[in-house]
Amino acid sequence: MEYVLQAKKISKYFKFGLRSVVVEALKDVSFSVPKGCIFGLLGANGAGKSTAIKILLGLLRQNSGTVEIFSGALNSAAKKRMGYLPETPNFYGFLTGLELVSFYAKLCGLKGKIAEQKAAEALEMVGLSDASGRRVSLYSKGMQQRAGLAQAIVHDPELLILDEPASGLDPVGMSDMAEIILKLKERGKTVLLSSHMLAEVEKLCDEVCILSRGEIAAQGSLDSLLDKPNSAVLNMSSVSEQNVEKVVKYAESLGAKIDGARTGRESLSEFFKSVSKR
Amino acid sequence: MEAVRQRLVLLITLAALALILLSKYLLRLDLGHGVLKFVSDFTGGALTFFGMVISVVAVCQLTHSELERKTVATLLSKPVNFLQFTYGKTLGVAAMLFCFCFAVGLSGWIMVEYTEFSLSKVPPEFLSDKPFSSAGFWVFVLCQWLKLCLIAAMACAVCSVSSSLMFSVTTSFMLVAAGILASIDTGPLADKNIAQIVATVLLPNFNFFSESEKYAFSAPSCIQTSAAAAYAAGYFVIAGAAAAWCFSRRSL
Repeated sequence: MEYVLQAKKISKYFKFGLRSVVVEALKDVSFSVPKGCIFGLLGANGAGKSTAIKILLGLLRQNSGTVEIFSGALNSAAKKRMGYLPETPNFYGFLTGLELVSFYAKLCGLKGKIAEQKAAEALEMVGLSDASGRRVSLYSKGMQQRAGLAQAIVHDPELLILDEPASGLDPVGMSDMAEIILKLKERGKTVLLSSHMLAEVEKLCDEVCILSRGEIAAQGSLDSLLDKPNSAVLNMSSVSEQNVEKVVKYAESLGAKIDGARTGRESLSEFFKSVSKR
Repeated sequence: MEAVRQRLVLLITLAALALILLSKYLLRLDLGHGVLKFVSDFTGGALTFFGMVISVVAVCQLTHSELERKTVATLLSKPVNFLQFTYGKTLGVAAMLFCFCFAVGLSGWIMVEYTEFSLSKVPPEFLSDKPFSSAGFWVFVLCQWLKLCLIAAMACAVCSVSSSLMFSVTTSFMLVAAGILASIDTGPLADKNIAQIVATVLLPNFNFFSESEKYAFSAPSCIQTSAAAAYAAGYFVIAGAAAAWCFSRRSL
């Protein structure tokens, strides 16, 4: 299997105060991101997700361990093949959306007209083409998040690192963001995303790595982690309450252990999306 | 572009321009110098004082806004390294300082020329001024710009180890003051204590630029100007590299 990114035994500690109190943020963390997959880096607040991402991007130096990106060290050539969306994107407010994304495109080596053209395409992909002429300072939080994604994909990178991509988005925005990420996967891109919104992660990710207090708590494909052999979930529609009871009794007669059965109910998230779809 | 948009920079530039345009009418403050020398010195004073404020405040504000808003993370995730980041910031401020020096220098030059024209009707025996040299005046403005670039680079190095804007601005001004004091002490290094030697080596040596203050009324020295330019460029490069090294070792 070809890996786009490999973190090997990364450790990072911070020293605080005059007494140099040591806080271990990451302890021997190792994971590999296969090419073309959506990889989730999960964990509660303070688990070490952002520290790991900063180390992957070269914004923070690890105390031990190595990071290999495209089978080599992180350098300018590797950075040209990567895109990064920060957790809370904050940009130069005096630029318009198009100017902002063009600026980042130029930093990635794209020239003049091509940079502008690519920026316009990226803004269209994230649904911001109508607001491309507006100043970024006038954007809502959700629009800033989309602009952040546009600057991350403007140079058509092979690897995308998205830190809390759904942060600050409403359910419709989150759903749109998920669609964009899936589209990127269809185009052959590799995506590493960190999140604690598990419902979205479950829909998107092929593999996950769960961090807890700086250590890996679980790692692997979602199927291998979540599948329960010898168990099944039935979703039935057009069925009355009496018939549900009959189905339960029949299943029990076959030796199945029924954990619970109730009449169908839509999730709030699904209901919200259906009534407020733009 | 970001540097030029700072309101404080525009405000200080306007204050400097207003002061220079008023210099002819502030002659009563003169303490026995020639009229042209007074107007020319006024330009030099405005360039140094306001330029110093702009270079320190602009660099500190730009750098800390990048750090506080976390835009630096997005920037450095692109093919941009720490050296490019620090040199980009300081060169941007240097370009803005060039515009400031040109605007202030131009208004000062116009005021000196206008004053010289006004004095052309006065008999020469009543004038104490030496002839004004336009070329020398512009070499002086260039040297002041180099001095301000050097201060900007030093302020960037301070920002690289500081976590607050207030600390960076205050420390940078204190280091400029210490640099001025260290420059006054021109004795040999062997006669100095360790603190003085460190100050002489690390802080900007403003003596390289003090000679240029005479150029408006005497022939500019090519060697002195080249030495000032070489010193400013060297200090700029070293301070920028030191800032990049410090940035690469801190948590962003």
